[in-house]
Amino acid sequence: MNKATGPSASVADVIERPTKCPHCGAITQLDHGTCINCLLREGLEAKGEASRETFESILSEANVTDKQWHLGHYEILEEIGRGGMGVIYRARQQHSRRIVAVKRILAHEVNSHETLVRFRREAEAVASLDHPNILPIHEISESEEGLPFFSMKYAEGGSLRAAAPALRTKARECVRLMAKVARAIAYAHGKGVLHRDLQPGNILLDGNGEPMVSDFGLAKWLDVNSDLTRTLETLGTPGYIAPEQAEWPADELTCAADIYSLGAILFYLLTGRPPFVGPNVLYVIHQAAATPAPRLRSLAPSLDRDLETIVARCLEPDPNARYQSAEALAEDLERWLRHEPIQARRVGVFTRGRKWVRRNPTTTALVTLLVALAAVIGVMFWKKESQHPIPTGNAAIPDKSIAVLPFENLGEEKEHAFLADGVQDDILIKLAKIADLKVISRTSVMQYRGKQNVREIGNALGVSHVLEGTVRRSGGKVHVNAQLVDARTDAGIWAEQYDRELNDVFAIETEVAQSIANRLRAKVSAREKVAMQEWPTRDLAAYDLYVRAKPLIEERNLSQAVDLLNQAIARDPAFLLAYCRLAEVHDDFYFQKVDHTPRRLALAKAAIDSAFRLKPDSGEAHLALALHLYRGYLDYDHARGELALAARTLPNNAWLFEVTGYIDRRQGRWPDAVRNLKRAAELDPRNVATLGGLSATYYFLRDYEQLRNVLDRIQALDPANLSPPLFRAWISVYERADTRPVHAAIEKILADDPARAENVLKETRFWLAWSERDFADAERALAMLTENGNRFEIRGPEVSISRACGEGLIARARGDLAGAKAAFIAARPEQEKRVREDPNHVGALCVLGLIDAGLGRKDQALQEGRQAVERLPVAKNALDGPNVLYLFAIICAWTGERDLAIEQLQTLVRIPAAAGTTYGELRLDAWWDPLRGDPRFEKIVEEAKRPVALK
Amino acid sequence: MNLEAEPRVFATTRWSLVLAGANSEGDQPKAAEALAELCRTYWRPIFSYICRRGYSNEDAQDVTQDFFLMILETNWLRQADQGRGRFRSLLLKSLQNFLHNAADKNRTLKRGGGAQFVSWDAWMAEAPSQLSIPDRALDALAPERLFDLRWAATVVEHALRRLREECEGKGRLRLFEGLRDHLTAERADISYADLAAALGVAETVVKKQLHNLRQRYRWLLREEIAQTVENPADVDDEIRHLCAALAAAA
Repeated sequence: MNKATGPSASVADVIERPTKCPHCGAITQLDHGTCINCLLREGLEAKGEASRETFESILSEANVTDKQWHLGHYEILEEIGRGGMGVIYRARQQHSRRIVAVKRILAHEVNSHETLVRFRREAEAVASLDHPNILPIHEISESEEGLPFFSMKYAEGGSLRAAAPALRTKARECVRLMAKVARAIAYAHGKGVLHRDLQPGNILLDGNGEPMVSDFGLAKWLDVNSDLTRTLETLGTPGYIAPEQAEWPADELTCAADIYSLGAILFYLLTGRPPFVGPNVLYVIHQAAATPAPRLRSLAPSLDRDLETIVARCLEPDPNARYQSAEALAEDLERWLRHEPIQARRVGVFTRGRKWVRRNPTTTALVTLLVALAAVIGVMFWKKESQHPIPTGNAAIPDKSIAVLPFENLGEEKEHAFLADGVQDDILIKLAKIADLKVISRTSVMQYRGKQNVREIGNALGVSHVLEGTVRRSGGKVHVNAQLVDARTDAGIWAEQYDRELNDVFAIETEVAQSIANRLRAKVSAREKVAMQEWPTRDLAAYDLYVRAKPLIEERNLSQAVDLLNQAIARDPAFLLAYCRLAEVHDDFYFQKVDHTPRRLALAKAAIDSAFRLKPDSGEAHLALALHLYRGYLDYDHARGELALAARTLPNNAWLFEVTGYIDRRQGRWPDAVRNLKRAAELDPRNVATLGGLSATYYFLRDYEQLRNVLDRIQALDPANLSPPLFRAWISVYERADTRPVHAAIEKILADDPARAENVLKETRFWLAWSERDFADAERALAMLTENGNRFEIRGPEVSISRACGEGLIARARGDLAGAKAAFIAARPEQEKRVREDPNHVGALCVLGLIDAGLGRKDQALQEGRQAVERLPVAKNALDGPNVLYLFAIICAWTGERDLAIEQLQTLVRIPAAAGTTYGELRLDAWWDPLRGDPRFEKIVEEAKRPVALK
Repeated sequence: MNLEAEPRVFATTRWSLVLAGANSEGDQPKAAEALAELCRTYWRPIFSYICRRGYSNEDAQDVTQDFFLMILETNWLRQADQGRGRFRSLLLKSLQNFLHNAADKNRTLKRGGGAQFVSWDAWMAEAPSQLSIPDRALDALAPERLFDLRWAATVVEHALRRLREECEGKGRLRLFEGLRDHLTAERADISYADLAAALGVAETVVKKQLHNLRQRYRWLLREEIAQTVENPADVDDEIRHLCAALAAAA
């Protein structure tokens, strides 16, 4: 009935002969021909509504019951709930008159016959379980529509969730219950059935308060492509799911997953909350995977250590570290009830047991079980958890190098957790001021929260020493433990304990920093000595606010960060760091276009001014000013100046070096750029963005060996990222004009990741086809790239072409001059419009020149090209200038100006950032065909084999 | 009456929960659930808008997913500083920003990895598009209007679906099916005799049940809308706004 056209098909069905609603005249309808407008207007007030009770009571009067109100030989009495993928009713078995529960799968939840078959098989396996604490399934059957349902014992006592509040104070009762549940689970495991979805809602209680586990094994039949709606339904609270369930495919799970859940449920019963909570599902799962579970007694101090140990053992992130069977867990619980010693060993703070290196959770598995994830999250989120030993690119690890790891908070109050971060942060900052020390940036160390394989950490970060510690605040006092470890030998070489008044915490930080500097025999200048003794603020409350602001900024929760920082400043108007941070946040608002107004910039400036007033030579203030100039005004020169000033007192600030490197690059100071970016990467080795910047730089310099190194590092940090392997494959093209590795890389991506592949490969496909002169393929790729009127960026964002223009390029390469002309004619008006509308867009002008060259308008093309080059010369912008020059060279080549073309190419091959001037591309790109054979051209091609020589 | 002291009447609507969660950590788990529920219900207007903005089907799917991730993953609401208001308008604004920023993103080290995470067929099958609209009208619609249109359709569909479920739960599905097309019809246009014959009951029963269904439907519809606004007073206004969007399609 309805015609579907293009993207509209997913937007709405299209009617061929629209009918107007006789009532209101609107023409939008629902399927049955009912008018949406009328349906909506029905909702306007003053027409009377019915509550559910009233409605149902009147409804029941109608003697028009549905025929299938019997399911099998069960008479449905009433709905008692909806859960998982179905509806649960209270029903009566016809013959025996017994009251049972019947669970039916709703029609729209089932998306394949296969699912039904699997469900049935699973239900049958579960039905074979016979244990007093497993809710028995009586019968499995099918409704008339062929949808399965099953009947089970009706649990009068409701679920554990409802009973939990009353149980909170009765620890023994909780343990007794869970011991029975554990035995039931052990029995099921013995029969080869995993539950996979244990949670308080699934543990029902019968009339005598006996626990009965229900919904066994049903989580298993969630499809691999389980859809978002169902997952959101089933997993309202993910706090009971073992972290590996988010990582491994369903078939690889072991009973350890159920054991985790049992521990989590017990935790919940005893404390009133699951081990991990968070603002959203994703956060919770991530926490569970990344951090150790909170100690039971930190939430319920009255419980004893043995119980804490049992629960902790269940909640170990490493499945191998948990109880190896539900039976073992049940036994320990029973021992506890009998006041006997338990088997599980307690593990101390500084002597953690086995370390388990987590591999990067693959987004595939994570997502099938939980809320949808996209690879963006994969890049930004999960990369932090990679524990792979990463080739640091450093040959030797300097002696005077250190990473200050996140300090552990041992306190009981959740609110005091920030103090531990504050202590670590301040110590890090103090040590970072010492030029003679290499101190790793915060971003890279934060990823090691809770981890303790010091040797691996040292190796991964390129440091010889590691500082770890704990912080506990109780009442008005603070207790700090700090330990310096030699990462090469894993030997502790210094440790200290501090027990002070809370307000003295800053003094502790200074002492620790001084001791470390001593131990490492770092040369500390007089000025650095003074800097180390500075307290960030005198007001602890202000400091707390400041420390809380940091994670908010990382989470992009800017407005709340501003609030906190303002409060901190209100408490202590001399809090220099808070001003600097505040300026940073305001600039972020501006830069990210959340509030792209002059007012925002003014706010940033005001904060910076305050900082300078407090301390005219403050490195942090210079850095904040540099950021302000860079992001607010794109004033690279001045920003660079400020950065140089900041660098004098902030020798270990990775970000400073990174931005300096980018500015250097833009201004053509390539050796400086490389040096600064390398330094940034050294100080912040796990920062993928920095490495990305470095990789681009090496590409521009044609230094393929270094490029490969950096790509390897990125890949190790972020295996899910498709760019490094693809980029690497292209190096073969650049170096040797060999396109085969690109084919192989594409095949691999298609095999590993078919759904994402098409998107990611669009551009590569075009360039590959172009390089191989497979014009049919190139056209196909071009069509995909320019779908919906998108433009194809052939030389960065500055230089983009339309589909018609691309077709012109391809036609010309093919030798089809008439076809090329037609395409360029079609492309020209739009391009001209672009130039007219934005005269500052130099790239658009070059592309116009290209089109004109393709149309044979020699003079015009050359003029446009020259103008473009004049307006954006390489000297002015070392990144975009070369691209403009490149296009000009093509224009020259096409208009028969050979000498001019070669002159441009000679320049291009000797400067960095000229994309396209690699050996392979010069050899293969069709637009250089007019120049082939010319010995000068060939010479340039040969020269492109070598890296760009830096003066 | 001191308005500030008045407790929030709709404390349990989803949008109110989300708003509450933005302000206090304790409310966050509930807020997160509420937000997820809202997203689950209203994904279609988002998707339609993105399609209408020119993305291909596959790209629109990706962008929709990305957008929801952003919403669900970050502290979206706290960041969306533009005061409170309706879920619908806030969502649209965020979407517009999101699309704007997405276009700017540097692609060099873009995302990689991650499988197709939503079975789109299943998702679409679960909530099939029931919206029908003339071709030329569709093309003429601005994306924002289409968003509102889709939103209106979603609201109405959802209310109807709940009504259906409630009838089904009471074993009166057949009744619902028989009467659903007449929920908005005028008395004069309904042939009670025919309906009575089809359902096998007296005419008076038909009248009473139809009235009953209407009343319940209204409750459900207003409840649907209420889930997305903060104040009870806004419900009528929201309905009118959506009606206006429908009128624009005429």
